[in-house]
Amino acid sequence: MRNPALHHAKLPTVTLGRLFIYASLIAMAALYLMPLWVVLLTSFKTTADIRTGNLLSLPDVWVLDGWLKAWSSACTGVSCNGISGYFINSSVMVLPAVAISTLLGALNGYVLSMWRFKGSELLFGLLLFGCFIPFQVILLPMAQTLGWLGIANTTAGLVLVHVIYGLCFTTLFFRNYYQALPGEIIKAARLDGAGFFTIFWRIVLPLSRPIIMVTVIWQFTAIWNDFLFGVVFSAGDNQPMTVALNNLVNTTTGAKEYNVDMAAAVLAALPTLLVYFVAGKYFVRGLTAGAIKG
Amino acid sequence: MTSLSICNVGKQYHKGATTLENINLEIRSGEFLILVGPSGCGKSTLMNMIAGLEEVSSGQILLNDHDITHAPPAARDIAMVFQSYALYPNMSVYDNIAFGLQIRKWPKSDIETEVQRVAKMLQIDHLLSRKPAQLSGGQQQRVAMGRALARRPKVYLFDEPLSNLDAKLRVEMRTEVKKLHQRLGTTIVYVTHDQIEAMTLADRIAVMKDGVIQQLGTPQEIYQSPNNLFVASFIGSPAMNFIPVTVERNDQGLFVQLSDSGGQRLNVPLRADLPATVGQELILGLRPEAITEVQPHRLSQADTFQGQFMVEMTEPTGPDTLTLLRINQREVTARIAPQANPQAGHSLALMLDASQALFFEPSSGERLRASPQQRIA
Ligand SMILES: Nc1ncnc2c1ncn2[C@@H]1O[C@H](COP(=O)(O)OP(=O)(O)OP(=O)(O)O)[C@@H](O)[C@H]1O
Ligand SMILES: [Mg+2]
Repeated sequence: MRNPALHHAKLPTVTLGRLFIYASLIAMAALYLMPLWVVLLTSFKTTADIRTGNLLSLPDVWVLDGWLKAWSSACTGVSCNGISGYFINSSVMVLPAVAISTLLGALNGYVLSMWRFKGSELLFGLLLFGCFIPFQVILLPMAQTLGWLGIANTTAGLVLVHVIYGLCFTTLFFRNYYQALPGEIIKAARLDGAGFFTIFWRIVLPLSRPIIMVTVIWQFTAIWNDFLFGVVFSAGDNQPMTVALNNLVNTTTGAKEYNVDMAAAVLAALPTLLVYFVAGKYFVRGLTAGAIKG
Repeated sequence: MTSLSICNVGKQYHKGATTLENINLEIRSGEFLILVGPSGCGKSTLMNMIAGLEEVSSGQILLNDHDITHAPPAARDIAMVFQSYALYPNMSVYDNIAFGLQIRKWPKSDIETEVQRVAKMLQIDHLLSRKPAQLSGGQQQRVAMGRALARRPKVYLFDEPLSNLDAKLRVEMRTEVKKLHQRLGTTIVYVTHDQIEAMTLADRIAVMKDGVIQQLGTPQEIYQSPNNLFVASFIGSPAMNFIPVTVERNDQGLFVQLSDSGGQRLNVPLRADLPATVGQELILGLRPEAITEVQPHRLSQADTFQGQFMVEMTEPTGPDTLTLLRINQREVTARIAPQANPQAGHSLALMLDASQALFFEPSSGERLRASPQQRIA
């Protein structure tokens, strides 16, 4: 599109092969979008409608009952205040966890790629190893540590867990990105008189936008969607959205309200969807970015 | 007044692997010193150590007689221009030049004045608001120089600053660097791969190989009296011709024999003060410009010979035609005026100026030099 001449020269020709490709792509997309479609449709139906209609039929009347109830009055265990409070819990937990783990990852990556010291490669190797540690393995030692620190079952505790667990990934991202930055820029800055943090703030960080995007999306998705840490390291009113969603779905008083469940599920997924819509293009760009551009 | 002394400096990146060995350089105030040498010989390493970007393993570096061996880069007042220019991609040209001054907490108005001064000098004042990515290679090069100039450092280091430019721009910038040096009279250490750059810019040249300085001297000294085969072959383009010979004696003294394509013998005498013996194997070095078309007025000079040579190939360069031929069955290059019209497959009368011949000891590669005892005798 950017080069009109090129665009005109290469008009797409419809061939059988191309048709086949498009057909299979559309089929795949439909297959993957089907659950979302069902979820959305169901969330706008009334409970009666759900019982009589089939899974793929449009609602008889479009109602927001499910959404309103999910947000403010559905029962999650004992309390019946909807998921709004937990939505805020998740936000309060995710924002600092993402910010801190991203910043620390950037700092780690900066040190590991530009201020090499004896054993820095080994340290990086060990950090890398951290990416392969399954969640379950760290549950017990983490619980104990949080207990010692006196922040068990608090949002701060959960933030700490996510920061520590995410650090391996964020460090890996930033380190590999900085590896490709020309070392002579850092040398030039040192000769200009800049110190460790000045170089980081004024030169390295401003060049990191693509990888910051990647890391933020990665961390946001991972932390927002996390269930295990949430269910283990928080309790009662401090629980994050994912745990509340589970409670909501599992709390059965009377008939199962699928519209409420579905609306709550969409609400829970909304922030990550939003992040992808807003910053998704940076994600692809950042992952494929080799050289830097000014 | 800024002098830089590098005393017995050595560098080992790893134990056992010596990158630089006992480097001694005395760089005088205002001198333009050029480091040349093949890739990997340690030029950048030496520059980085002077700048303080790399630890010095042994020895000392003195700036105006102050020991700066272990001083941090910022405390040295040395600026460096890198091969990749290393401009800060996120900053405008203005900020690139101003950055070092901002760090040094200059007042804003002084920074403004200084950036303008430097930008005018380098003719980049219309580019100040651009980002480096929006500049051509030559413009980026100027900004990199501007950044170095703005701080008015005591010493400038240039690590192959022109090697990313195309040929024409390189020549232009070379002239500009020379003008700049003449105008500012600053002390400069400059690394290059380009011989012509080295010959035209340098007050003195240091030729390095495998972390050792092979020779330090003026361009003329390096060119006319190379210490060894390495320096002789490294400096000069096309390279010096090397012909293996054996020392013989006749009633006029020691000589070596060359033969032209017709088998005619040309006896090249060895100067009496050279420490050579009969039967000794030597390598005779003769620069291409010592083999030329016949110039009758010079034929009468001593040590000038005429021979008949079969031309194997020609490479016209414009002012002269480089011509490939054989002496003692060895392929050699001659520098011939195009008017002489050398043609491949044809025989041509040529003149050898043997007074320019140098002799090297084959095993050590050292040039035979007049030994003091024999000079007295
Ligand atoms: N950080 C480093 N760690 C280990 N070895 C290094 C390091 N930097 C350079 N070397 C080695 O030291 C030697 C000299 O490198 P240097 O970069 O100084 O060469 P150079 O003369 O500048 O070469 P070029 O002309 O290619 O720039 C090389 O063998 C190189 O592999
Ligand atoms: Mg180098």
